[in-house]
Amino acid sequence: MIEGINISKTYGSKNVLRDISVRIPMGEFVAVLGPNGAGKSTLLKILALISKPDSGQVIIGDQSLINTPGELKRKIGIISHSSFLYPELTAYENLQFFGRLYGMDNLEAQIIAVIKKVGLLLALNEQVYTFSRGMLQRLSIARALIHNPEVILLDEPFTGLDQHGISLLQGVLRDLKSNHKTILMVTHSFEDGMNDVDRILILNKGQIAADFPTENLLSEDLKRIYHEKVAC
Amino acid sequence: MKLIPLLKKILFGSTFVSMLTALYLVFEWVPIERQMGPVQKIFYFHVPSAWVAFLAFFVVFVASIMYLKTKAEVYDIIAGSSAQVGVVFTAIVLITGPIWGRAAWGTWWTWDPRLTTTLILWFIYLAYLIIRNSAKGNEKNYRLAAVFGIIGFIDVPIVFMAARWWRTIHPVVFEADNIGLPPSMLITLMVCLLTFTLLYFVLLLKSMKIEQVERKIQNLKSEALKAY
Amino acid sequence: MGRELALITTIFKKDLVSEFRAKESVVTMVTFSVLILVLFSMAFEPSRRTVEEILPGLIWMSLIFSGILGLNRTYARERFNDCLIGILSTPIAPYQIYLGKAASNLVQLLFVEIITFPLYFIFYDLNLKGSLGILIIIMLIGSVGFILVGTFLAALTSNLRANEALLPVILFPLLMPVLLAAIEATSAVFTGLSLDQYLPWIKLILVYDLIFLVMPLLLFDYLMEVD
Ligand SMILES: Nc1ncnc2c1ncn2[C@@H]1O[C@H](COP(=O)(O)OP(=O)(O)O)[C@@H](O)[C@H]1O
Ligand SMILES: [Mg+2]
Repeated sequence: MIEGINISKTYGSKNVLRDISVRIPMGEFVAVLGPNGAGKSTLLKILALISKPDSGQVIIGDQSLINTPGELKRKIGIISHSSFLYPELTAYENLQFFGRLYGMDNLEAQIIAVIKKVGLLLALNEQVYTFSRGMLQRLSIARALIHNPEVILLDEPFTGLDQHGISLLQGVLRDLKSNHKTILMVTHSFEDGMNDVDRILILNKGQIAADFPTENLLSEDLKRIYHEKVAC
Repeated sequence: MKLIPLLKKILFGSTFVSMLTALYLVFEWVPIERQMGPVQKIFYFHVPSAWVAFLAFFVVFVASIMYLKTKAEVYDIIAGSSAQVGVVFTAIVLITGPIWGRAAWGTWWTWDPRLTTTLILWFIYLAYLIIRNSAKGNEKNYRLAAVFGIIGFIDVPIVFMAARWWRTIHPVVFEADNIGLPPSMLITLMVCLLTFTLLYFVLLLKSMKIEQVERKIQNLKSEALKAY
Repeated sequence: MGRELALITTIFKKDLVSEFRAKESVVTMVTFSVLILVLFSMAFEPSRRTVEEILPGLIWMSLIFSGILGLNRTYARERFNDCLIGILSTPIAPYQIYLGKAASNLVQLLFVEIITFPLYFIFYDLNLKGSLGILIIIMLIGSVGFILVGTFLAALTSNLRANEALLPVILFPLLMPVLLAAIEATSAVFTGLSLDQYLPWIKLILVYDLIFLVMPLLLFDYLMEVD
């Protein structure tokens, strides 16, 4: 479960997010659509506790037991169009580095497990600068999942992927969903990764313009709703 | 609500009166110093400028802390404006110092601890202004400048310690001017200190006003651009 | 406590490994400082007397200049692929990032010193009148002061345009006390003065080190804030 309550953020005099509240229950997969500059990435960074909102609050999971920001960050994994990987290090070393930052025990077994999941076992000891764009994206998925987070936040993860990468990422998302992970994905596309989405939010000018379930929703309907909400 | 404009008027008025008084005292009233002659009068500008420079940078320091604590834009504006005024007065110190030195000791520059510290101070706050200007209008930049405004000020006493210790081991060519001042000179100096302090606040307010207007224009511009 | 230290060493090791593997800055730093010492040796054609006078300043200036090359790289590496955002999404605290990076930068600088130092003795035909042990201590604590401030300010400038050119301009004025103290102390060891004649310089360096260890710990959060 992840929840943002009354979140506002301004840059200088620009109101990027205006009093936004979102709640994603455990196991739900939500997609956020919106034009460029709507504030999608900003919202994602605030939910990931990387950036602080001017006002408002973020709640992740059951916070009654632990609530230091560090402990909460352990519950979140983020995948973005940037890979967050070091080119001079090998795939293994990159995963080891982030695993250690999460303070994980039994790291080696976890690395092998997650690298198998993204199909990079053979490239385990290759330096990352030798990787293709697709391999890089797969490794960055492994990086985000290394600590087995409850909540996965994705910022336009399909950007720049080839067909193979797209179907791999879709497989990972389906897998995560069947494991009852909470997922929030910012996206540009009306198709990629949309099959498993439960709910769609449309963000426009820092506000939630629409919030509806995808059940029985046709692709044409979605496009129509989107253009209605964003045009004005 | 009328209070603030009233206070400003009082400030500007008293600066004006005090400035005239100071000029009269310096150029008409106080006797010409016997050894150095008229050049000695630079003293009445040099010392108050140094005082204002340090005051200005202390204000930068405090306003920077307040900015990081509260994120209120006004503290950033105070810090930035005060640094500008401070750099100008530091420059006056650095110009008048050598003129004095030339007349008193026959040399333009000496590594006197106070002069050395002032020089380094000038570089520190020049760097501060460069940081401020290198990404104007970006909020992150206010934060970076504030961090530097704090750390730069902390450095100043250490610079002074180092400069003083450095002078004690190298031969000191010129004795420090620890002459007790005659009353007439002391009075003149005090009035000059008061005048310069008032002048600092006048310049600070003006500089803040300019900055505020600049930011307003910037906002209007980006609003207008958005309309397209 | 152990956990915090583990996070610091994680950053430290990662930086060192990627640095020594890419070799960019360490090689550049060593080459640069050797070049300076060769060029100066030609420019001054040192006699024994001038050596004692100019060498301490020369050593420290060349270290600072080559050190800056490395400091600029520290955060450039983190900006590439937005790695810094990745790090900040984990539980690590900003001060731990700072300490890990400072430690890694210090090791790189000491590496440069170990290589170039013997060369000074060879090129300038130097014979040390004071104690080598004390000289090493001065080099160490002086380098610590430089790296503590440098690692902090490099994080600041990495946010700005033209950051590579900017770092020296904002760093040098703040370095003045530690640089002056280190040069004076080094010079005293070269000429064989007794310890109590330059002990205040050593104390000054230590005070500087302490202050610029504490200040970044208080302020580094503000440099790592993402908006
Ligand atoms: N660090 C920043 N400083 C100033 N403005 C920013 C910053 N980050 C984002 N913005 C502005 O905030 C708005 C929303 O940005 P973002 O959340 O990246 O939008 P999206 O991801 O929906 O395209 C944009 O207008 C952008 O220019
Ligand atoms: Mg975006």
